[in-house]
Amino acid sequence: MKNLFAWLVVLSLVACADEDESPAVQFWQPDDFPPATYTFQNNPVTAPGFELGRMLFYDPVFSRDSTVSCANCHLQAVAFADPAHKISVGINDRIGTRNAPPIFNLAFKSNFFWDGGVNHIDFIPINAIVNPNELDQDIDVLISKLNKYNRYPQKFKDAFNKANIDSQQMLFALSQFMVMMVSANSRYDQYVNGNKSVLAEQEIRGLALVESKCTSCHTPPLFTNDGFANNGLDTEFTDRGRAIITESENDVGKFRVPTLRNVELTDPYMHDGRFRTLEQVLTHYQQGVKDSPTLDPLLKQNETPGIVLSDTEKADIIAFLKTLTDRSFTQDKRFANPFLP
Amino acid sequence: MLFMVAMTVFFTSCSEDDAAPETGSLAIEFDAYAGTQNLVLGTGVYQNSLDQDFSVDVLRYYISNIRLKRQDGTFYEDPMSEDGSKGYYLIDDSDAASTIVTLEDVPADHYIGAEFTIGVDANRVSQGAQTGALDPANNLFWSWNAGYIFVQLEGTSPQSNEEDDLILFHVGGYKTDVANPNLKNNIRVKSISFGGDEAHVSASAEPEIHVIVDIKKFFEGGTVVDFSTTAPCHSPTCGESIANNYVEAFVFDHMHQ
Repeated sequence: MKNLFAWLVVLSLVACADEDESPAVQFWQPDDFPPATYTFQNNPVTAPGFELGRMLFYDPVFSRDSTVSCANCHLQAVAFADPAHKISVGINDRIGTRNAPPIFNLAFKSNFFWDGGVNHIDFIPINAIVNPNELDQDIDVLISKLNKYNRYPQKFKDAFNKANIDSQQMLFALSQFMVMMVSANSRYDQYVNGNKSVLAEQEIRGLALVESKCTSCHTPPLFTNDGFANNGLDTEFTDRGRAIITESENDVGKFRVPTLRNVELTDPYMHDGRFRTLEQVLTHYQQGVKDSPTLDPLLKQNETPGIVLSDTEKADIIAFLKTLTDRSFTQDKRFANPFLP
Repeated sequence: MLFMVAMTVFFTSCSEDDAAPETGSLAIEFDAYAGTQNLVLGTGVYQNSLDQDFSVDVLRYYISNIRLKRQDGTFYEDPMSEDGSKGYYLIDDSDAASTIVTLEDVPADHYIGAEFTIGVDANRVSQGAQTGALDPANNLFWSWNAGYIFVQLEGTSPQSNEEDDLILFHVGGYKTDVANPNLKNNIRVKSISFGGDEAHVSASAEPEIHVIVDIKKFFEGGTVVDFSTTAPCHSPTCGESIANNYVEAFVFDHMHQ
């Protein structure tokens, strides 16, 4: 199956190569990653589709008053997270309810957003577009704006060859842009791939600590198990998290386990952005975990909830976490704002 | 290119077969009623089983996976296209044309019943963005809990304690998880028999099946809905009892041959 996807991508590239001189657009499936879950058979990545998705991502036409784009809360320099706000800010400075998560390695995951309410990449943008606190725009209105906008009809035609722009093409283009965002070239990756000299001693000690204390949930190679957990932030939850979707009391206060890749860049942390630094996050696990009925059992193994950590171990872990930063991803020109020179 | 060749070979081999079998059309009309009265959106005033007045402003729902039953018990299945543009029908009671679903290219036969899904199955949602009836621009898509609203009924009741006397029912939810029985799958499949009649589909005859959708039954049956205590219903758990009710609302009435 994996091979079939690769073939489709190759085929579409061959088809485009004659007419398009833009840089190579090919989905990267890192060898040690799980197979991509994205439905490439319905929406193969092509150069024109990817470039169109890139423009859409950076275009404020997506908000009701054409002031805010996806990129307002998802900045490439910080792995497409939102560095400025605990809780992200939409049009008219309206405040949402959760911290904007980073965007990369989505193609390998099966659920999205802090509560996992969305289970297909194509549907991710809808959530942000229609949310009154984000872009606050009806899909049908957005589509009619795109159809009237000189910039787009020809580009959609080049990408999808249909008479009119519809929401499927808009979502397909954004998905093509987002699934291409693969981050697997950190120093950690180079280390795993055999270049043992790239990690310093402290970082290697940190890796061993992470493997013994963190990887049950933050499981390599994606550094998330794609699951949901209550990590003891509160005793009572105003944001019920996963329970909003599952309507189960067993899921109250559980949120999606975020990846640790690029975590150095994606502050503030947690679903509500309450922690500003990695130091604060580790101090939480060391001494701040609060008990509640749904607290993850792995955090209840000791007399007091949490993870046993010395201050030295914390420092080692943080040193390791920084090896998961992938500058080749955050500086990849293919994902940069196409409207800037 | 490989696929093109494969497709060409495939089609070529098909066209060399026997002459195309006879086909025809069959129409199914979904006619909304409130009890014995024809549903009039906006102005019609009806009573639920608790004698509470209510009116309906919006009635929209998805019908899909339509299958026609042959005399031998086998089915003809209405084909569904890969992009969702065919085989999924959005019935909007404010748009008369949408209430008549015409199936084309149905093999000539004598059909004795039909089966259809009220809603949009999980397999379709897992394929990503769709077009046609399933275009999210139709505003029957839950952005926060990805999936379609199967049935949307909105109106008012003087007994409602919501703002503007609103009554609102958005029924959806198709996700399942063995570990979590609370996750509701509100997909319902309805079978109807043509009451001993046969729909004769042929090149020259287009039978029309008349199905009554009695919206009063949305609020009675397994669960009686009290508009004074029912908050706006837009989660899979809330919708479950409504789905169990409304599956009984779809009734074969008669057919025109």
